[in-house]
Amino acid sequence: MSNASAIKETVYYKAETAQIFAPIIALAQNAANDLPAAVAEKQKLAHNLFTQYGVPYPKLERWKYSNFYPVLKKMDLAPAALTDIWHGDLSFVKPIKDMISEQWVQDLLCATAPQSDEIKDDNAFWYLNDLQNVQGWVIDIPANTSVNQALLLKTVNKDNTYNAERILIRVGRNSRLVMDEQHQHETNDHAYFKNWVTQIVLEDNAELVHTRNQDDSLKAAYVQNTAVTLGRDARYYGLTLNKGAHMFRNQYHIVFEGEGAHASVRSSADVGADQHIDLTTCMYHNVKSCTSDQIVRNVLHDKATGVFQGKVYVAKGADYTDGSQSSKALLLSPLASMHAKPELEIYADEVKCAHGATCGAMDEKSLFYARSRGIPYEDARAMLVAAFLEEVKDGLPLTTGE
Amino acid sequence: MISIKNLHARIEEKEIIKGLSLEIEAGKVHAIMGPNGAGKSTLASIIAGREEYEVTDGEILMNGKNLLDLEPEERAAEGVFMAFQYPLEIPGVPMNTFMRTALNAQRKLRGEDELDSLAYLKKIKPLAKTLGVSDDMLKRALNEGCSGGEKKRNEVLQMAMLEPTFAVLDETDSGLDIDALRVVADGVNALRNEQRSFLVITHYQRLLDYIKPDVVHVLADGRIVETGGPELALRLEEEGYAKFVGEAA
Ligand SMILES: Nc1ncnc2c1ncn2[C@@H]1O[C@H](COP(=O)(O)OP(=O)(O)OP(=O)(O)O)[C@@H](O)[C@H]1O
Ligand SMILES: [Mg+2]
Repeated sequence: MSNASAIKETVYYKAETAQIFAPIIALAQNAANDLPAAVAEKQKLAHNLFTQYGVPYPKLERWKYSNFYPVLKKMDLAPAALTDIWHGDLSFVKPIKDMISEQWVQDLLCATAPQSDEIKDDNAFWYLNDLQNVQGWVIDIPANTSVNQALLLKTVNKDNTYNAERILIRVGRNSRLVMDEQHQHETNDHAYFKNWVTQIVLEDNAELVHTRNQDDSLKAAYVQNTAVTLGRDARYYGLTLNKGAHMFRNQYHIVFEGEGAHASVRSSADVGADQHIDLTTCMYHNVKSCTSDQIVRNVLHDKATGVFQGKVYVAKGADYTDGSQSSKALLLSPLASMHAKPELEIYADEVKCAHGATCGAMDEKSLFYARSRGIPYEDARAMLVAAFLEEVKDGLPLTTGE
Repeated sequence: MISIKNLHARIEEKEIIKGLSLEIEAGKVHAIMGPNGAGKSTLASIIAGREEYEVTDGEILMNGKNLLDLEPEERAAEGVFMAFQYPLEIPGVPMNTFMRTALNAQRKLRGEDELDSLAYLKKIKPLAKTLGVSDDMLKRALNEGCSGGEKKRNEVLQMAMLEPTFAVLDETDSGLDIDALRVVADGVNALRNEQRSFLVITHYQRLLDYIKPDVVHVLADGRIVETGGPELALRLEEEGYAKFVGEAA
């Protein structure tokens, strides 16, 4: 693309952004009062950045496969209410507004959107969420506490709504939390936009098992930013099972701050029509002896598209890092497509980073084997697809949360 | 009774089966021997319903029905079974899940009640034990990480579970050590009865010492070129296939 047309494109998309989000921005500005100075300041900054940069456009390297403009343009967005949270013991769940005086809460709300040190137009959706960063929940698990009943977070959006949820999670030293997000829809005609930011702090030896059943409407757009910081020996297990959404950008920023920590990011999709499922991650191995794995299994029917941009960054001195990535896609139609782009940026010497990406059709020989034993075609296919998708659960400590 | 009449089949313009005819009566064991590339596995695959091969002429009748008109799963429900020369690995699907699904799918197609997991286990446990298939293997993904011999035992176990009326064994003896060969042959012999027919493809006369065939055929260049009694296998062991390959060419 020539420079002139690139600039033209940028200008065009900025104008579009202004139009799409004008009502949302106006409302957010009116709502902001009674906030601690730092948070109010942050909202102002976010407003400036968002209006300056606009929604990420395809010319940006990390957004070239996922253009949200055409989808968002068709919506007529009005703000939506908070999502529901259920648990037997809700003492550790509170609205952000009730916790705003706590320093750690303010620190998270004011944190710079990750992705890189500098402020970048890549992060515009995060800024957009910042405009209403006190709308959402704080989940705070004290030290030495195991919450054995899964915390259920359920969200169902209505037609033409905009839902900017902020979730702040802190799991204290030696504690464990199982959290199960259910993203549901009423009908597949409902067009809505969810723009969520989830920030997770895992203190030393804390564990979070974080599953997300994404079954949004086939007209929905959803952007999820999940930022995790891990203390010494902490463990994060993130699993997203994708079934719905017209367009979903699932973005993880995982930062290792203490040695011996582990993070898993897993994602499966069984999607069709013109669904678009994008998983974009960055694992920042900033300290020694941490491990991470990323497993993606996509089954793509019809005109569905899968995207996996997985980055592993290993800082100088972060030796004995083990970071693996594996992406496999089953393309069940000639029009389905998968873009897999593993990326490694390594500055340490002693590092193990395996990555692999494959993409192919259903194995006809396996299908025949099953059919020759009497299993009908559709069942045989479903059995093989289910087995393929199950691979994302390999080694995850999922059982205790049920 | 199985009757294969004037079968012609090809793959990608290459004719592999060139007018093959064969009759197997109920309760009989027929052996097929023949040089590499003769078309033995192709014949087995066509009987089981592999779509890759294009049948250009002929028919395969079983109890009056033309198997060629049926889907692979329908043939299985009719009682056709093929033990694969190279059994597949199915990652993520435990043998128990696979077997129970298959068994119940067949029962359903035949209009019979499905087996619950207790009844299933009651059926498979003793069979697995006689065939030397461990509990661990039943729980593991099908054939994954199994040795060649273990996969073959697994095939015979599947056959014993599904109780076919027509079983095709494609080189089930290759890859087996002497003891395993005996175990597998015993497994097959235990299934022999008045109604059940077998087509045993092998390169080795040794197998036929354990599984005594009623009839032995030589398949060369896509045709049955010689048919005889068990003594034919002994003769082949000595003379090789040179005579038939020459004739067929
Ligand atoms: N999928 C295929 N594509 C192309 N050619 C094939 C295919 N399958 C079989 N053939 C060819 O058909 C011929 C017969 O193969 P087949 O596997 O039936 O032989 P076989 O008698 O079983 O041999 P073996 O004793 O080695 O097992 C061979 O020449 C083989 O190369
Ligand atoms: Mg063969």
